Amino acid sequence: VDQAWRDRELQRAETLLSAEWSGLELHRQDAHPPPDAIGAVDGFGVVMADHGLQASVYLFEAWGAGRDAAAMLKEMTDGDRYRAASALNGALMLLAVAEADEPAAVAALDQLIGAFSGME
Amino acid sequence: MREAHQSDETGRVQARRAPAPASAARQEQVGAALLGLQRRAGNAVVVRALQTKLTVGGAGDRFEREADEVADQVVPSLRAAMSHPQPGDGVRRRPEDIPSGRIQAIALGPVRHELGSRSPARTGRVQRNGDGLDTFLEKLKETSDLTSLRGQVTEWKGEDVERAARHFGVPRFQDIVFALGHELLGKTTASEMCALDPKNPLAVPVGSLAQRVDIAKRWKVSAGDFATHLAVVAPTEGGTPTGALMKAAREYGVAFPARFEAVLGHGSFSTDGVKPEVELVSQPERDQVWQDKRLMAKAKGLLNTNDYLDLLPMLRVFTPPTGATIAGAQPGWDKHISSDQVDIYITQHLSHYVGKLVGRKAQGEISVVGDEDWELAFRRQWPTLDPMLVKPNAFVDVDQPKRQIWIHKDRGDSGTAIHEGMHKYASDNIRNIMRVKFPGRLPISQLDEGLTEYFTRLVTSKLGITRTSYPNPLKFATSIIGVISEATAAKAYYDGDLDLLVNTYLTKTARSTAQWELFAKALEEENWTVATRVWNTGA
Repeated sequence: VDQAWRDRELQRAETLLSAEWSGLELHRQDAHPPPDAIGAVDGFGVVMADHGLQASVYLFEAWGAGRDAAAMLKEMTDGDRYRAASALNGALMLLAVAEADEPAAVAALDQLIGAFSGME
Repeated sequence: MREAHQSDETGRVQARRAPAPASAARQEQVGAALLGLQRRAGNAVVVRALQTKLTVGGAGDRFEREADEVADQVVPSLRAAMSHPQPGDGVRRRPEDIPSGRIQAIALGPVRHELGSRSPARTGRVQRNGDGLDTFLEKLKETSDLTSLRGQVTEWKGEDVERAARHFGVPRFQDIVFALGHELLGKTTASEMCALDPKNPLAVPVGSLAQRVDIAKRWKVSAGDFATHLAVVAPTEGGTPTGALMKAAREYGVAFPARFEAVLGHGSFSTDGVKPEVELVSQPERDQVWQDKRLMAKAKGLLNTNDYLDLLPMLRVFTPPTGATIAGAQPGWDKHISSDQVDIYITQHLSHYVGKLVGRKAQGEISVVGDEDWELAFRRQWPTLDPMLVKPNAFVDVDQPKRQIWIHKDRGDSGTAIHEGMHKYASDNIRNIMRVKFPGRLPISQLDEGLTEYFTRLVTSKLGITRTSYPNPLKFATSIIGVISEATAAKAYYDGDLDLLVNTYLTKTARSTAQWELFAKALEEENWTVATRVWNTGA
């Protein structure tokens, strides 16, 4: 994968999750699970200050290539304790997980998914 | 010893050994003898004698015999002179004799003379050195610097233009140059020749397109050369519509990329002018144009921004995404869905809503582009927004006359093109009214986007595409539709009847206009908490 394209896409992901665009204050952390565990070539994680919402962004080597991983991770995580959502944007994939009993975190989940999905 | 070539009476070329050049004294003797004969027998006998001696030989009366004797003295001198090749003398030069940088067409041989006429050598017509067309043709063979001939051409007299017109059987100066280019230089320099257009005040009136086509056919100009000619004359062809030039090129057999390129420099180029011609060609032919980086860079350089951007959807630019490809992926799952496929999906799954909408379609309205074209279109539509901060996947030219759709090749998902295509089926009214009445942080309408996403998902759900865009606007649009019915919402959305939507909502909920406006304001300002509260409580 072209490094310049990889850098550009990861930078785009950061923009989509930025406070200016998403309206959410997020802090950087490692992606969980790590990118190579799901066939991604790169990635990073973010977390809300109160830890009620965590998300990981993954970069795949092709447009839409994160589709299967997104569906699998969402299915594995979503349940009574956690609300999970995933979204695709080109070669980027987002997995976001909120604590189900935290209304603010659940609301932020939709906000984050909407921001990451991008303006159309 | 140098060899010269001379035609015999049968026209065959014979090689002869040329005698040594005549001495000055010998030339004086010959000249005196010729003058004496000329005084006594007249020019005609002298000329005939020389011609005869040079060509067929023969005998006649006393004067002719005397002329023969003189010619016996003169001809060797002339032949000596002829052994030194002169421009236009019919001597075929060897490539190694041609100085480096000269026009290669010199090797093709002598200049063609007027149709039906005899060469000056045979008619005895005296060429005037330095005069118009003759000099131009001679100079042309001596230089590769065509621009140096500009002055030469501008000094042509009226008779030179007329002679050139007869010479090449063409009516117009530009076409004379065109014909010259093809006669002498071949395709690679035809454009250089045409570039000589000197704005000659003596130029004959502008020839019609039909005349140029006729000229090209008579000269058996290749399709490629004809396209080159059109490209050169196009900038001055303000009176000939761009589409007419393209049509002529098409009928001449010029390939689409070449005829497209030919009109790019047209003095009054417009995409609307070429649209009928572009619509005629197949998608693979359009692909040849937009996939040609050189050609598109040329278009970008020659056209103004609006014309250039208008071209892209017309060509149906569909740039593939960066990165690897997914083997065996379903259509639209490894790249965006094409605009014609968008139409198929929308009309297939929403025929009950869009079936009666005349003229609404995505095909020809959507361009999938890379960074450079994306930024160009973005800055035209959103001059105050920073494309580096706001990174939309796609947008509609809501403030442009043609309201085209731009999708970034590396962004969005399989449903993006359907969402954007849905905008083309919808009326603009709801968006326009809401974004003016309740301006938000972005120049879009959240109600419009929510309704668009609702109807988009009616399609994508049938295709197995999972959408995640606009979750909150969708939530409220779905709630509204739950109150007023999907059919009413569709009528409001596709027909642009916002009053129908609002009045039905007010009737069904028994709420006031003020309450609606409170809700609508919160919705458009993306204040989801307030919007939820007002929706639930009316306050």
